[in-house]
Amino acid sequence: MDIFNVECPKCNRQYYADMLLYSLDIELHCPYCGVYFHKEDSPRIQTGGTGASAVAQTAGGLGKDMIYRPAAEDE
Amino acid sequence: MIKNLSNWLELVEKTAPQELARVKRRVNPGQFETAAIMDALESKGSYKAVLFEDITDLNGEPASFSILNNTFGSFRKIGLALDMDSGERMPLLDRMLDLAGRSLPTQEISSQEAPVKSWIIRRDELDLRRFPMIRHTEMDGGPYFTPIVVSKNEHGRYNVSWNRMQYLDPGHLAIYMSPRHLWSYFSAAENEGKDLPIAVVLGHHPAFHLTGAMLSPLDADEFEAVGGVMGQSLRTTPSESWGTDLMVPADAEFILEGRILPGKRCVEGPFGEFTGYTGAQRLSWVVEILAVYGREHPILIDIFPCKTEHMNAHLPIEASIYQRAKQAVPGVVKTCWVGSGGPFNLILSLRKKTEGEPMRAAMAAMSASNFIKHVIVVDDDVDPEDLSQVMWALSSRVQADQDLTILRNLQGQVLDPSLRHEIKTSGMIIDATRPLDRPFPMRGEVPHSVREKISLNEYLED
Repeated sequence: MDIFNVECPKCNRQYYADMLLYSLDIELHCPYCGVYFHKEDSPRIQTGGTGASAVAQTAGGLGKDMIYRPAAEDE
Repeated sequence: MIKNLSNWLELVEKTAPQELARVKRRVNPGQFETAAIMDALESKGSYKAVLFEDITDLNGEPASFSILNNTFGSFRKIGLALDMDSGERMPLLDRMLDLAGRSLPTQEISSQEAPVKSWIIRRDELDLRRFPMIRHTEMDGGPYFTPIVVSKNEHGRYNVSWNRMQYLDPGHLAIYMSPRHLWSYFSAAENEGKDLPIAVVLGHHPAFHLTGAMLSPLDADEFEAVGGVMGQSLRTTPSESWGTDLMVPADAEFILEGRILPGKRCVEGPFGEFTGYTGAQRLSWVVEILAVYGREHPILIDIFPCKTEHMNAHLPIEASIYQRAKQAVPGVVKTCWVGSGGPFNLILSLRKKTEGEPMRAAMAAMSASNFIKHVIVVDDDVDPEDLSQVMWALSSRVQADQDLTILRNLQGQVLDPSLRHEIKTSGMIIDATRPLDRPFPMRGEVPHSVREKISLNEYLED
């Protein structure tokens, strides 16, 4: 089964979970500090697989802050 | 004498004292301490059982329990569980096959007579944090039990199975079920909107636990199979929650009664598994605990899932695999799955009479269990337990374009980390036997008649 790496928003340690959990709107459970959190709150998530663009991934996974948002035309 | 865990430990101490050690210093199993000690022991090549006599509960307070690790750490101890004075693979497999064919009816006793009901805690007073649970590997999703789970289907058949269970909160545990008997029982109940009553057994005579790993047909009652394996009827007693509708083993050390809830799932894991890997966090099932009871100062059997003991506990499955392969090809001599160095690799040797037999034996072995995805077949001059001999045969008797077969779309083992699909796998068979249909070189050997006359000490000093 495919898995994804996820970073805990509280203790910032990484672990991994079944991709099924990625597709569901449920809370994940950090094995290190015990906090429950939604994946949207994770600073880093790393997925991969035949359908993913693995070559564009970065070490440690992509974070929201790493996505460049182009300036609007009128800015 | 009624068999139980304590008198098995006495037997080990009497007949194989080197196989058991006691730790009297206080340890906290919920903070990896028992696991760290077992890991340190295994790294030294020692697989002795260790009885931790002073342990703490999940709150870190002293608990009136002991924990036993490495019950199945060596074949010698598995032999002692089966009344054998041998720790060799093939006699053990033959013994397991012999015992698996027997069964004895259970013997029912009252709750008042049952040693496992020396004390009882019911749901309104229950707090699972007052019991010891174990963390083994760094990424474990929480503290775990590695128990035998007793369940019963609508036809009255009892099932005993090994399942991992994680602490969720003071009244609930998570349970992970592979798609086998327990899972099928629960699925049937859930389809009707019902829960499934279970008894979580933590500690009994090791033969009880070994029966949990046997591949028995769906119509064979596993409480009766336990009797066959133990050599005496399993004593049972009514459960607290369901009375005679769910009987529980009366001579167990410690039991949690609960129900797997229909329509409920939870996030469970990660968990260090028998594969040697920490398996991913996944969706599992929720168990509501209804009652807990045990002996005075009960002994919990814990399996360290990432280590040798866990694979050894699969030996009853290897017995079934050996049996199936031998039924297909009578020339099968020996198998080696447990101890082959990989959780999904089987090596089998045979006395080949015709071409095609290696493939037939390998396919029979694969069909016996979804644990097996790679099979290497060798001649009977190669010992499957000696990996250097196996590698020699692989390098000198195999042409990859002719002797390697890939099988697609097999049912795999869901805990195999290499699977991309949840359960589908591919398989591989390597025929490393000598060809019979053309001349093939002999092994280089000194003439036997000369070799047997040689006594080294007549020629060499020590």
